[in-house]
Amino acid sequence: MPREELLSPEGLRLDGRRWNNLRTLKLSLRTHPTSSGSALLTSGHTSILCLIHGPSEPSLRSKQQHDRCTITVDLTYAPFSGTDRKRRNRTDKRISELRSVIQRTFSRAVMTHLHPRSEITITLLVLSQDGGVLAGCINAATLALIDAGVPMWGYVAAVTVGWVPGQGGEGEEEGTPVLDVNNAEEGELGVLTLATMGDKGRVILGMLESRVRLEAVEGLMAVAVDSAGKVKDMMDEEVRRHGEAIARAAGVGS
Amino acid sequence: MPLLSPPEYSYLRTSLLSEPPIRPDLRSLTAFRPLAAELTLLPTTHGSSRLFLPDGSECIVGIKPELSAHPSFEVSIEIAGLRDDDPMAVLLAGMVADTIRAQVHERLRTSGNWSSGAAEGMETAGGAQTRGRPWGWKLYIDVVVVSPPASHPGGLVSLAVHLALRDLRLPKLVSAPEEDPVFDDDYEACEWLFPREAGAGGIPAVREGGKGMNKADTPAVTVLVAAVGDNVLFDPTREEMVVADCVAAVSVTRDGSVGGLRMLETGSGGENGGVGRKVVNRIVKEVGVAAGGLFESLDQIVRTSI
Amino acid sequence: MLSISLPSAAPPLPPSSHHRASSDPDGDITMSASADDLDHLPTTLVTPGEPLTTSPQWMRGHGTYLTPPSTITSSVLGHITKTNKLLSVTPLHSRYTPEIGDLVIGRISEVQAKRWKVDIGSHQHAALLLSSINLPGGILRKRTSTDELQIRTFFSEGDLLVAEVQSLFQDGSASLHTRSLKYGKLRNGMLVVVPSAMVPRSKNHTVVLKGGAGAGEVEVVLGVNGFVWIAKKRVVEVKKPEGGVQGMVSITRLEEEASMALYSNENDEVDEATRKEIARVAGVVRVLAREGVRVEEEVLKIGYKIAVEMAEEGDEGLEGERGRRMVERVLGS
Repeated sequence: MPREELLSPEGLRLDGRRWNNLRTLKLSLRTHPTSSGSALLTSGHTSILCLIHGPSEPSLRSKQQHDRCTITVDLTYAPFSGTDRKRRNRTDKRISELRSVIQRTFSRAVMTHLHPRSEITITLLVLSQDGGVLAGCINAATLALIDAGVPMWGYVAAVTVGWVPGQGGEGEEEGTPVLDVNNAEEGELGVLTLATMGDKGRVILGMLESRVRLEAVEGLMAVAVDSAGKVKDMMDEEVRRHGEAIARAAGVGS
Repeated sequence: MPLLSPPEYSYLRTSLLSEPPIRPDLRSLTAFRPLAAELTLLPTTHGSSRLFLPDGSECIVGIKPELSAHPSFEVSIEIAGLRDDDPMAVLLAGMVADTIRAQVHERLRTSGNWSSGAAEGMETAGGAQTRGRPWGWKLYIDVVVVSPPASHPGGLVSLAVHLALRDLRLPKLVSAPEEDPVFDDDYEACEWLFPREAGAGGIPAVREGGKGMNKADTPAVTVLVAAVGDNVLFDPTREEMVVADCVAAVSVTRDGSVGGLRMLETGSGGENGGVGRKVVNRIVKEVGVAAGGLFESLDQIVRTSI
Repeated sequence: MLSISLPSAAPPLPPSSHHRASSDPDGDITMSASADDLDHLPTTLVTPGEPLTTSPQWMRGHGTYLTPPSTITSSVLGHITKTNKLLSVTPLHSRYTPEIGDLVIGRISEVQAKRWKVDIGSHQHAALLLSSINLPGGILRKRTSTDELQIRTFFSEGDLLVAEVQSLFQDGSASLHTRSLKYGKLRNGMLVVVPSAMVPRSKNHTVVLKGGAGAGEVEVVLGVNGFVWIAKKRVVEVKKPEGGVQGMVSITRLEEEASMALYSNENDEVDEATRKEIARVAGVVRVLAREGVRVEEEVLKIGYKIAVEMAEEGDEGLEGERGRRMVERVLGS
């Protein structure tokens, strides 16, 4: 795809966004009251549901750790989630890799020492995908864990940033980062998925797929950390709105 | 860990054996638990539905058509928390496929040109090489059961697939029969696979019935029933299934004819193990009688979602 | 017969808050209250990672952690609670956390050598020691190896029982006891499970309702863990020492004698009218919890009365809309 399509001279991307526009973000907590916690996240056309079970007695004795809680992640792509129908089974390498990354991230973010010998199961379902699936999963899981009352050190907020390379050669024009990539952009560009924890921009997850020039990485990271902070604020706003609605309703019942 | 303690088991069984049976939620014999349903919710599909129960069981179905050499369909079921090859998921996929096979095949046969006169006519017309490539639709019917089922998902899945099929629209052909198939890009031009109303729009039924929807106009449905003594309970909960003499998945068409019956293993069996013939006959009869009301409710949801 | 409602009646897949965002430097960010303003914000909602105070007068309690050097920080979504010098955050939602003295209902999940594991819907299963139950022969009887071998004659996997939290292990899990005659195996009824937040701790966890429509009395045991047992009213049986007729004794007797009848799995005779009312009460409990109304004695009595009235008016069953109407009438009274 020619560079001008990904980013026009006027600075417009394929879907009309500018380099620093996030897609429309819709967040909901407690979508499934019968689970311990739940959340639905939609970013553009990427839609991810997260359900939490636990902390509770582990399903297998082998999963019990004497000094901390075990985090188990289950990730499914619905076969109808992409433009082309595709059935992925759980041994799919991509899925295994994502599960592992998500599991490690939340083993850090959750205060697991407070629930030894228990297990928390994070179930993620990708209902539709248009880029940024890992970031969406991280954000959905954060919200669902908060809904479940699982103690965490802070919010884990994730974003994707792609790198549109500059024109090569002499008088080289510098490349441009583009925030919150969709499927088409993901297919063409090097993309960094980054997650921060808490307020101070501490990076807890970084995944750079496809090659990007070394000089570009610093710029990418700066944009990513800053944007993750904005995403965190948006998540916090929804969490508070949701919490206040619950508190109001509870007032009725007492 | 067993679902019920011995006193719970015998209390429930005695309640269900009463005349009339006293169900834990005071439902009547033929009442289903209240469902919430949504159609046309997945933009990447040509037909979709979402159903859920108050106990948290939820099912999303998406249908995507693909060009193929001849018409067919494939059903896949993913249940959150279970492996892909878990026997429950595989059994359920087979059950769903069996239930809908007759009606879906009939409708698919009228689309595509693989059996149309045009292709055959071309062939016999002096060996012309320009006959159209035979093509038909292959439907991928993908089911996702979101929450680990508090009940057997069979009934929920079957209703969700039924509604998704009735929500399904196929791209409209704009090329001539002898050409390679080209379709209208406009989603609004798509045609319903199953007619929305009797005789209205859509791909015409192979058999022209009289007024009102005929048997082929909607896909069949599978209902789960539990037999306890002389009583046949519809849409049993997991507890009711555990104490029942037998649990059956029965597929039924809108005119009340029972197309298939599968005994599921979840029943406890009577004193002598297994059940008498009378019980099976009673199940078939009750499902046939209830079919009318069931399809009316489904028609209602399809109608209101337009 | 098959009631399918439209999406508007359903928990929505369409989400509730929309953001079209850019990374403008002057985007709105709500500042949380200054960390030392706590005295002015008694019911503040706080979120994970939010700093609460740096003041050394506070000790940190549940739902918080310490960010060095001295900031108490929230770890959950919840409300600040202050008890003396202890600053905690109570999460809006969480699984049941046992406290000593709680009345709970649980299901035996595992039988071990000298104890059982009991599922009480908490972070871990609770323990019930052989030494913590009533054995035939009286409270002071020594536990023998025969008892250990016959452990399943008392409680076996799947059995449902009501117990009290006796103590807590270091990891917060519970140890239960059934050493009063008001505890023990549950019979003659059915279980309803609701979120534990819907059953508050109160003085009285056993509610007796007079059955409408000529039925007998219905007893509701409200487990603080959200497990609720609804059954025909219990009577306590005690074997008289001289043998012969079993008598009924008040459970306030200090010298408590138990018999193997305590561990029987046999139900009593429960007539159909009573069964119907038991199911009706179960419906009331479910609907109250679903609509966010805490289930306790007064509310339950009113709710059941209204449910019986509604049934007389022809409104059998409390599903969907009818349930909501019942709750409205309860709140109105």
